Amino acid sequence: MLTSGPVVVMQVPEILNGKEVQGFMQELGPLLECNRPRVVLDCSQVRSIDSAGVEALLECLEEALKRDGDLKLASLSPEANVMLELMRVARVFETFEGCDEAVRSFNFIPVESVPEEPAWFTPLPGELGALKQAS
Amino acid sequence: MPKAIVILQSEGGTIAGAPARPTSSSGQTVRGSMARLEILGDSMMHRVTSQLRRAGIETCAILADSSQSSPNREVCEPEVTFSPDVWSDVSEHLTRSTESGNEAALIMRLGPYVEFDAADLLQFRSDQDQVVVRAFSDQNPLDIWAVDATRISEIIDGGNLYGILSGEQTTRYLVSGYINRLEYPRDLRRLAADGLNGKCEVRPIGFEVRPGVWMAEGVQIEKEARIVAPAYIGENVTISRQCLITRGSNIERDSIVDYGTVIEDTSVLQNSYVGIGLDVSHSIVDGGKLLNLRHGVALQIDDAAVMRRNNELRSEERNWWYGFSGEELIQVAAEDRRS
Repeated sequence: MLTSGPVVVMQVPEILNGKEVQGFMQELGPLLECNRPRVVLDCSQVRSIDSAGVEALLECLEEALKRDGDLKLASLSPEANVMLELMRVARVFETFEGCDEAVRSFNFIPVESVPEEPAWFTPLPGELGALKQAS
Repeated sequence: MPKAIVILQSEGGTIAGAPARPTSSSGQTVRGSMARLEILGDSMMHRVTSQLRRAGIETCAILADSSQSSPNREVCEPEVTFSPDVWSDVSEHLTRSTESGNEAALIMRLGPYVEFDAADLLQFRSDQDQVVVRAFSDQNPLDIWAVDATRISEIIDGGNLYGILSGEQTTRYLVSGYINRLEYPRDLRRLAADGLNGKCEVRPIGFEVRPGVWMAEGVQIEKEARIVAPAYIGENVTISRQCLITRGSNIERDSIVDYGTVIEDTSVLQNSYVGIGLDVSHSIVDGGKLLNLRHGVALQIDDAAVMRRNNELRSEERNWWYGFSGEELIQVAAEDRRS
């Protein structure tokens, strides 16, 4: 049986640049180390993010996906939106208007995990079986 | 020869000596004019003064509030006079104009870009025998006046010139030509797009290498770079491999767009470097400043690999956004978003 931890919501700092990235990664790192990490990053306070910050977000996403989890972005500030679009990574992340919506998205059951219904018929041997299947 | 006095100041700010405008965002902030920015190869300031010259009107003064000046600016823009009291200077120029025998004078505030027949306006004032005639667009007043320099000097007599010019009894001259208020950054984009699409008299400076694509001298377009009309590539610009310039974008002189970057519906102002593999859309780029018009956000990008000034500015060159300081830019972006 597959298990996963709770969905963790973490605030991204106002400034996520070369200097701040290290501290951010130290805080986020342990959250990604569990099996199937589920993380929502609240980006509402982001005022400045540079290429180092974007790279850090990508690394975190990669780490989460490696462990069969996911990392999503929520409440993107206009500044964060602009930088992600500028660096062509906006579509890499799943983004949501609000944290609640992002958290709820983790509870949706993915299609592939729904078990197939058993066949309504039992195959009969021989030509009669083939005829019944064809009908 | 009639004289023209040009005041560089955009709407929403105040000029010392003039009353605060209702649309002013901050009565204490004097907002610069985008008319000094080069768009499609030349600034509105130069275009307007050239047009006036062709109409037989000599520009005797280009004035700006001294709060917009810096030691750099006064060296680099010798044609602009910075003054703590612009309207006093206007009065002085009118007086001098009278002393040299010129009766007719044109006063215009160049924040908005207005296409009109200046000679016709002066003639209209003369025919109407009015001291002041003000240009209007529909019911909206424009800060363009034709004045009788002799008579107005007598009326001013130490009083408030701006108040006299803005009086309700002023005779109106209707302007039906193209107007761009150049109040917000998106107006700048609109001007560039309108110029490229032939909707105004602003013409790209350069050669139309194929329909809708203009290039100035010294342009380098590397292999596999695509320029999709309408677009303007300015003097000494380099467009690197695999770039795409599209949707009415203009890349002003001395700029570089590096490998694989897409520039869409964007103005890249002069002397800017845009880094590798970026997607710049609906924006204005000036060195390390990025103004995204869709999100209404102004960002200072400190990452030189992403965006920066292309060439190091010499000490005497300007080092802040024409007409807007860094703080004003953010303020204007926020106002634009709210509007």
